[in-house]
Amino acid sequence: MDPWYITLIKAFLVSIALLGGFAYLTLIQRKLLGRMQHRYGPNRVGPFGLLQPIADAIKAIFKEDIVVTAADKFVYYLAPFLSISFALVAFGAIPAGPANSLFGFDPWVMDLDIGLLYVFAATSIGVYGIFLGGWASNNKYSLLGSLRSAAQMISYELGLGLSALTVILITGSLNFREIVDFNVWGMHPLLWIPLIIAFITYFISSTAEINNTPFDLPEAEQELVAGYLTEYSSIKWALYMMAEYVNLFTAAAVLSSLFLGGWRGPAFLDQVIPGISQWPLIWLLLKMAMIVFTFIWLQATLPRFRYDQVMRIGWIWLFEIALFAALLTAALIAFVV
Amino acid sequence: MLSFVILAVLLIAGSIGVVSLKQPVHAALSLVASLMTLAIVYISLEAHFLAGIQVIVYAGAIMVLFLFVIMLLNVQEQKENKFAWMKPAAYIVGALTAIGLVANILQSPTPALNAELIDTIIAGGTAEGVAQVLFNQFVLGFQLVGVLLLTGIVGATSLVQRKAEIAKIEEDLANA
Amino acid sequence: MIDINWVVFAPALSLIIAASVSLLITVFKKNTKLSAIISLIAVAVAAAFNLQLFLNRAEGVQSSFGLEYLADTPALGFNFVILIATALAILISYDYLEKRNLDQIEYYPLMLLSASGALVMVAAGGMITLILGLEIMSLAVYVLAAWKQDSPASEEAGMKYFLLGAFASAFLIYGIAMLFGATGSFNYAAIAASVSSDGFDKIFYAVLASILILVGLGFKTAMFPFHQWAPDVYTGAPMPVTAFMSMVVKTAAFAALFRIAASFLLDMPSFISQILLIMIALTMIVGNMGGLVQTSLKRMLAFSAVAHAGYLGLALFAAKTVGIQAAVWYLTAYVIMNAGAFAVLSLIVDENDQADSLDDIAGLAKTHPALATAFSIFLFSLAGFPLFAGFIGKILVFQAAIENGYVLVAIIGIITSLVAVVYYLRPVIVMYFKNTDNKITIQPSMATTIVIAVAAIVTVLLGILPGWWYGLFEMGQRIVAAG
Repeated sequence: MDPWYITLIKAFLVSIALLGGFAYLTLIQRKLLGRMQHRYGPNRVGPFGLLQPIADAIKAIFKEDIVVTAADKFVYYLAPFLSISFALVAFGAIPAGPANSLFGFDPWVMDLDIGLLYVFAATSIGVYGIFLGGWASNNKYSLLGSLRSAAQMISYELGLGLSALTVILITGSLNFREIVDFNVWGMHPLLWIPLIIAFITYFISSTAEINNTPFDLPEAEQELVAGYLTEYSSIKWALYMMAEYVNLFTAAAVLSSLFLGGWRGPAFLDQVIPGISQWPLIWLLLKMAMIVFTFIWLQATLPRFRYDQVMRIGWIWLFEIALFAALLTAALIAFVV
Repeated sequence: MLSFVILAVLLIAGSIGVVSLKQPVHAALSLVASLMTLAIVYISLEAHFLAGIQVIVYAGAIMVLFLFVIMLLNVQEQKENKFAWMKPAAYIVGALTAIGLVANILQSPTPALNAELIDTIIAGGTAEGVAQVLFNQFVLGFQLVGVLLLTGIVGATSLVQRKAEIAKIEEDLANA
Repeated sequence: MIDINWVVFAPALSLIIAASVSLLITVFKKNTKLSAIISLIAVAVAAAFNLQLFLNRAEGVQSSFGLEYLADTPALGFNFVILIATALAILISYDYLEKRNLDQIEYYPLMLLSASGALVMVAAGGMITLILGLEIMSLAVYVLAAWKQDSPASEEAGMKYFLLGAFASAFLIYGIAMLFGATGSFNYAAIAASVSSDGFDKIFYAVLASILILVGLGFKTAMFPFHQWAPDVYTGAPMPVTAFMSMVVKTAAFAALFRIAASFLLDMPSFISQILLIMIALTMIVGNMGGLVQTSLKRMLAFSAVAHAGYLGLALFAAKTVGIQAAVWYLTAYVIMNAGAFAVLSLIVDENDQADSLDDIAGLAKTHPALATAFSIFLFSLAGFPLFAGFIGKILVFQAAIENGYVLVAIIGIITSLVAVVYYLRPVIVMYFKNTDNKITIQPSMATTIVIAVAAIVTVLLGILPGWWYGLFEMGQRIVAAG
């Protein structure tokens, strides 16, 4: 247990890292999308376009901040802040290495016994940012976008929760550290079946939760202008974009902690460099990078679903499959293992 | 103690906001705020699991549905209050109840807390502690909640689906 | 680990299982008849389990899940009443629904779930179980009340009942929370022990909690001043649902009230008893006065249901002695004659539940003498004429109240029941003596006829031979399980 000021410093550093990550993720995303679409992507500002995010940030800050006259002022200002703060808060429970490994400190902000629930709670409050922003703008496209988004996020939270339930049942803990520490090779081999199903449903659900393609209906430029973002400009718009990318990071981190071993590296590498699988940060970042790459890959590959298809997939397929996996796990644990 | 006082003031302010704000969305947001504050109170009492559930279920799901309905129906500020005559009576009853409760609290002796009791209480706040109680002492209640949810689902679908059927029949008739 | 005795829980469980099974079967094949038959079988099975428990009752209090679920003599008695009422309601429903094309497959499962909630309420040994049972029961009835979706009255009934019912539940939950704060327990036995102990210093909470609980359960039993929803909801809901509501919901809510009264309510400061007393007196007066001015028979029966809640309330004061025995008897009689009356009405009314005014039944005795006779029997019994079941029931509750020193309220009860005779007899007079040309044509139907015949016979039988059913539920002081 670290003293409170260390925790505060760590929280601050994680926030900085996430926001910096956001800035460069935009660049990476644009470059990758460009490559996948046979073009270059940004390459004018600085070497390889590396200064592009800074240029973007300056532009976003100095743009005129337009406030809609008919907007509900208080909620209009509140919404982007809600979005970004809960997106940042959610990351706090994720461990990036074994205890005391980061210069003698623990590589996590908080070690909560309800870690996973905490992340779910923070993301479920994040819905309010989108939801209220759309309403407060007093614009029908915004409202439609935000209603869609809220409905989508609530629907996919079911799939998300039930898929995570499989992991919770197997590891017997809600704490990320204990989940990562769980020795997956020692469990009953039959448990792999629900675990793999749960991984797939969790991946799809979290794609929908972070509004990534093919579930990017809240924005849907072609139909809804830009959904809940329509009436936002300048720094408030930037805050929303930050929240979106930070959510992407959080989703990737949770996914890798739940299913891919979190901060642990492959054990066979220990024979080459002793202890490398225990190094903090590096493995988690690597896994997150893989998942983020997959998300961007999806953006370049898949068209958007129709709204009714999104709802049908969420309620009729994902929910049932995830429920089946959870029930199967429970049955296996109760009767077989 | 200080943190409790701050939280209590926030909680009461939020609750007053729920009943006094005119704009429905603001009132609902005020409710969200007080629910979140309550979650923080739970955290300060070491009931982490309860706090998480409180935020996920109440603030994250139920209140979103509330707001959904408010926004979809486009509920506006209420100009005229038919029950205005009830207001004084409500104030009086509320004030009397509050006075009685406070008086009763001041009268009752403070229960003696020992370290052992505090430890058991704190141990009850974890997911494991809640599960121990839920699946032992209150297992019947837990099962009955399942039956209650089944009833709710069956009832809701039977009401809504039939509406859809009727609408379809009417549509067919109009087309014919 | 907690002790789980499934046999004790079996009556409610068999209803829940049957509801699920019938829902699953009817997903593949829409067959309401099958659903109704499954439901009747389930009720019979539940009654058999209940009988089994009843025969074993000498072995001491049977309980399950700690003391959360009890099967003592009062619970078993009320269980019988609820199961009989459910069976009768299912039988009344069958023809009624089929004729009006309302026979959606969810109807009978919902009714079974509601009945299972009622059984849970009756058997509850603690507040948590009570509130869950109450919600299961109510939620299903809210939906059933709005079952006729093309009828605005039915939708209004469902909506009104739902909103007010949710509000009343909130009161009940506040009361339970406060009681928990005052006594530190949800269990009746523990609450009773805490309230009656010397050092109990949180009497303000407990009194406030008792008032809130009275509001919550007063709503479900339709006691004054929480009776106002009853006439509208009873009139708007489909006839069999009204019958179900006035029988099962009332029985369950009263059973819960009796258990609470015997556990701690009567041990509270006398101020609580006084509130209860005034509520009951006004319930009898308002119910019967309301009944006097009605022309619609269904509405008249609604007010009659309110009035009967008042009479039943009289037995509450004797909850620790003969009150529960009297209440079981009264409710049995009430359920049977009420089911009969609603069954007759369900044959008389037209498609939209209209045409149930006094004029519409004029001359019924000429066209359908048997039906008119049966209806007269039920009305005489509801009014409390000697030789019918209702009379004995009233004697029992008046006696229970007087023995416990509540003479004044018993006298009010006697006077109001005399006034009530006027409106109970009016339909009889119209049926037999009013000259009219209108010919009433009624299509007889099997299930409803069975209900009417059985109810008529039992009403008379119970009136003539009251002793055996009363004697069965002779109980010790079992109401608060030895904790």
